[in-house]
Formats: sequence, structure tokens, C-alpha cells
Amino acid sequence: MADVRPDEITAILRKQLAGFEKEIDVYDVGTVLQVGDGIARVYGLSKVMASELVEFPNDVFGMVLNLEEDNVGCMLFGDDTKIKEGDTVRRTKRVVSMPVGEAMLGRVINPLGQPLDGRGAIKTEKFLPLERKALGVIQRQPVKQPLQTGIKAVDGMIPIGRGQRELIIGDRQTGKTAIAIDAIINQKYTHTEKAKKEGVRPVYCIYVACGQKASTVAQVVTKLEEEGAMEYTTVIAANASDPAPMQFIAPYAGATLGEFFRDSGRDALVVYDDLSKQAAAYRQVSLLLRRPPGREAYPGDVFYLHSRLLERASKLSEAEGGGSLTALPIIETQASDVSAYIPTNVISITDGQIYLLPNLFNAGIRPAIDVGISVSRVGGNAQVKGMKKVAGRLRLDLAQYRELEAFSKFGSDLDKATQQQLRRGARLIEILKQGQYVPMPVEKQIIIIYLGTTGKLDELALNEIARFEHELFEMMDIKHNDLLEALALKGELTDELRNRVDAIAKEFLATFKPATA
Amino acid sequence: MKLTAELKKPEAAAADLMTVKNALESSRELRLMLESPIISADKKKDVLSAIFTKKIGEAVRDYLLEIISKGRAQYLHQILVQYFELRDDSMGIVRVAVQTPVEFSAKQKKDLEKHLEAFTGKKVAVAFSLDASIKGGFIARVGDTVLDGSIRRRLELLKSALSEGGLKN
Repeated sequence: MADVRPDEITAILRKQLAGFEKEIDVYDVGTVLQVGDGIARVYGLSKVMASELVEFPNDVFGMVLNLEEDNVGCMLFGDDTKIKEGDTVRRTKRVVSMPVGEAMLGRVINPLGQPLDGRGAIKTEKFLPLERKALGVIQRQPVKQPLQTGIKAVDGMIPIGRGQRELIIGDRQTGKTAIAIDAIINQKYTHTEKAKKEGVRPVYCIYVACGQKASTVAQVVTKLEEEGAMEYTTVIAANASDPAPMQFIAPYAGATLGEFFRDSGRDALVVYDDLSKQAAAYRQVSLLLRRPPGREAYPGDVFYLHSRLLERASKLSEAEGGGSLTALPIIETQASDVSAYIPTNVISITDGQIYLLPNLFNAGIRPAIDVGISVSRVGGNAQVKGMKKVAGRLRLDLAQYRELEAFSKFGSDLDKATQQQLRRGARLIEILKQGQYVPMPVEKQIIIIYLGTTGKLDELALNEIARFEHELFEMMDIKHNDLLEALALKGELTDELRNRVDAIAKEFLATFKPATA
Repeated sequence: MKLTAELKKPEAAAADLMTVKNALESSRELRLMLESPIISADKKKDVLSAIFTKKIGEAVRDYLLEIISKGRAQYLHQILVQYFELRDDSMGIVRVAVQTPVEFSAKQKKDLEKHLEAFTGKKVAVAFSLDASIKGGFIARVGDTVLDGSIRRRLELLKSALSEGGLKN
């Protein structure tokens, strides 16, 4: 081993310390009057800004929320037991912000941008404030590009466009997170060469876990890693055990990181999982700061809390680079009550919602989307042409089916046409079922929905449909890959393609053997 | 209320008020007596007259007695504190608390005052105190703003700079 020369060490130290100025450090201070429950009241700090980051002893940081006549109310991002009354608080002169950059992809971070995955520091050059004003009308353009989730029921009937805000709402254990994770996993194809050829731009994903169990977050991260989705995804985690202020700012951190991609002309998808817990965290902080409680004890500005967050989702005009930020907020309802305060608020803010019902989930219809009351207010303009064509019929058929379904319970003396409609509806429902973590490319979705709505599958037994679909696509992947590619490229079932699909389906149906029981 | 006292001989009145303030600050018993609701206003007046008659001007003494007869005795100290803040303000004086690890020489103090005056743009009244824990340099506090030229702070900054540098490599 070579000797380490002292002058070498000195040289390195000198280099490290370059820029370490020998000047007097000027800062503003205050004194802690009171601390507890994750908030602190501070005397002094007379020039402090609202939502400025302040530094307490022992590396605890806080954010200024209340500016009052003779004191300043701060929420703490760290352990309040490390702070004592009389401690000195120092201003940092910057509004709470986080580092942003490409280096964040593939990482698990906390809402302040510090890594949680134990893989070392994240090299970023830019800092952006967590709270940013949403863009105005001039900088935006209508949503017009699709964001494929890979879920047949969603892409077919509740299409999501880039720059849209689509709420996922439902009780616990109805598969809300599953839909969001599937959507993230499905963005993998946008990062491939094939997508580039089709003109589909890559989508960068951000998963904000707010108030989730650490075990759930770990599970999600593992799954994303397994599927190779972490390469283009950042997970921002404020777990249930983290202080309420962390949970409160987590969605804003997600939006800030998403805006970084959006403002550099790229597309981003951010999932807020979930906003009901964020509202609860904000309620806690607000009540502790003695802001007056309103309905369900939420503070008066809880609507603004969510509206300013979701307004940041946008599709930028070409002059601004044409980037987009799509938001998928998640809200958990109690006993399917969507008329509670937070659900109604968020429903009214978003551009549509995906309802998940526990009874559908239990009946084996998964994803448990209630297609009757789920809507997408702007996504239709963004839908792929071919899909739009076949899905219009799908929506109609399903609506009729639901109406007739109630009648059918009375008996079997129904006329032929009615029976036929019931038959068709049952098959369509079967088609819309889909496993978790198996997103389907849009061209395949078009084909299966086309076959379903044109009645090609009416003769199949219900329990054979899933197998039929699987085997059909297995065969097509091998034999008719050119057709799939042509469909993906055109995005439309032209007459020529339709004839081919018809022929293939006919041939395959003839050879398709029902499983012998 | 406080500025009326300044009409005739502001300097003398200020000196008198300072005497009272110092007395209040040095004697806990006096403060407690004034704050106590049990003791009557007349009693308080008698005590104050007895203490201060020889030491302060008549105008100021009458003013103190007036405050007490209005039942504001418990606020006397606050009134005085506020008065001196207003007085400093009107005279363009800022109070600066300076902590040093060792006693500064008269020249050092003069130099520091000159620099502080340049920094604040006002006249400064410096109160020096000793604090060995800052190790070297000085810490000056002007209102909420701290001018930290201490070795302790620089060591803190060095520590964080080094630990961040370590993470980057």
C-alpha cells in the first residue's frame, strides 16, 4: 500500500473547501416559544416569509404556515422532541423547495427530495419550490394525446388524455392502487423504440405515497422494479409513520417533480395515493395551529388545498414546449359514500372519475370499475380513433345490458332479442375483466373489443372467453405480428385491417377447442 | 403617553425613567408589590414616592403616580421598556448585543461599533457580554438579525460542508 502523503491530504481538503468563505455569516433568528405535536411557535423571525423553510437545532427543519402578530407558527418536518423551548430558529431565506432532475428517476425519496432507498446522494442541479402557482390559460392547450393505462375498461370507456386529472375513487381494498400501478407499468412501452416509431412520447412517472403503510410502499416499489418500471419512475414516500407535515407536502413534491418534466417539454404522470390521507394530515396541522375547523373538522381551505394541487396538471401549448402533467389522484371513500366532504370536493375538481365498487370486486369483476357512473370529461378527444369507434358501441351495449339485467332476474320468458342482448352484455363484461400487472397494448384492446361488440364471441361460453383472448393474442403475436404493428401505427381499424381481423377470428374460432371438463 | 414626558427636559426625564426601570429590574420585591392586586393604589403610591422622591424629577414622579392611580401599576415595567424602544427609534439608535469569547480592548470595541454603524446605517448602542463557547470572533445581534463571525459557527459550516462534500464523492 502506498503511503498517503500529508500534503496530498491538505491539497484535497483545500479543494473540498474552496468556496468556504471567511466571511461573517448573517442570518435572522427567532426563539422557540412553544413546541409540541409537530408544530412550533416562534418569537422573532420578523422578516420571515410564508411557507419559508426554517432551521431548528439538531437538523430539524420546519415550514412557516402562520404569520401572526407576535409569533410565527411553523410545522416541523422532523422529530419535535429534539427541540426545546428557547431554542434558536434560523431563517434559510428560501421557500420550501426540493431538488429536481433526471437523477430522481428510479429513486425512492421523501417529500424534501432526500433519498430513502439507501443508494446515496442524488445529483441534481435544480431546486424548485414545492408550492408553485398553476399555469394560466395562455400557456395551455386542450388535452388531445392519449395516455394509455393498458386497462381495457379504462382505455375503452374512460379514456385518459395527457394533461388530464382523473380521479380514482373507491372503498378500501377495491383495487385503486392497482389501477394506478398498472398505468405506471404500462408506460414502459412509451420508452421503447417501437413507441418512438408510432410517435408516442415517453411518459415519466411519479408515485406519491401519502400516509401509506411502509410495507405497502415497499411492495409497490418491488413490483415496479420487477416490471422494469422504476427506470422511469420516482417514488415519493411520506409513510403513515412520518410526521403529518411530511404527508401534507408530499403531493406538492410530486407535482413539482412532474412539472420539471413537463416544463422541459416531456410528458409526466403523477399518482397521488391518496389525497384523503393528505387532507387528514392537513386537518391535523391546521387544528394544531388553531385554525378554525369547518365541515368534518377540515379547515376552510381544504378545497383550495386540492384544487391548487390538481390545477398544476396541464397540457402545455406548443410554444411552451408541449409537455404535459397528468394527475391520477386517489380518494378512499368510507362505505362507498361519495357525498362526504373530501370526495365531493375532489370529484368537482377533476376531469372525471373512475369508480371502484366493492360488490363488483367481490363478484369477481376486476378491475371493479363501475362503467355506468365512471366518466372522463376530456379524455374522449384524446382517444385513439380506432378505439373510439369500437368503444362507442361498447358503452351502448353495456348500458342496455345493465338495464335488462334487472329484468332478467324475473324469469326466462324473454324474447330472442332481449336474450341476445343479455348474452352480448355478459360477454362484454367478461372481456373487460383483466388481471393485475398485465397491461394490454391498445391495438390488442381494439381487436378484442371489436370482436366482442360485433358479436363474434357470442357463441363462446362465458368461462372460455379469458382463455380465448389469451390464446388468440398468443397466436397473433406469432403469426400476425404485422397486423398488430399496422394497427398500432395507424391507430384505426381500416376496412382492410378489419377484414383481416374478421378472417383471423373466424379461423381461430373454428380451431378453438372448448376445454373438456 | 410616553412622549409627553419628553416635552421639557427629555434627557433628564429619560435618565429618571432609566433609574426607575433599573430599580424595577433589580428589585423583585418592588415588581411583585406593584403587580399585586391586594395592595391598594395609595399604598403603592406611598412606596414609590418614598423610594424615588429624592432621586427623580417631579414631572416623572407625578407621571408614575398618575399611572398607579389609573390602576396601571402592573404595566409600569412594560411601559418603560416600550418607552425606551420608542426613544431609541426616534433617535436613530439600534441596540446591539455582542458576545465575545474574551474581553475586547477599547480600540477593538470602537472598530466594531464603527462597522456595525456602517452595517445598520444607524447609531449603535452596544452591550458587550462574554461567552467562551463561541471560541473566537464575535456574534452581534441586531434585532432578529445575527451577524455571526464566530469560530463556532464557522466550524459548524465547515462540518456541514465536509459532510456534504463526502456524500458527493
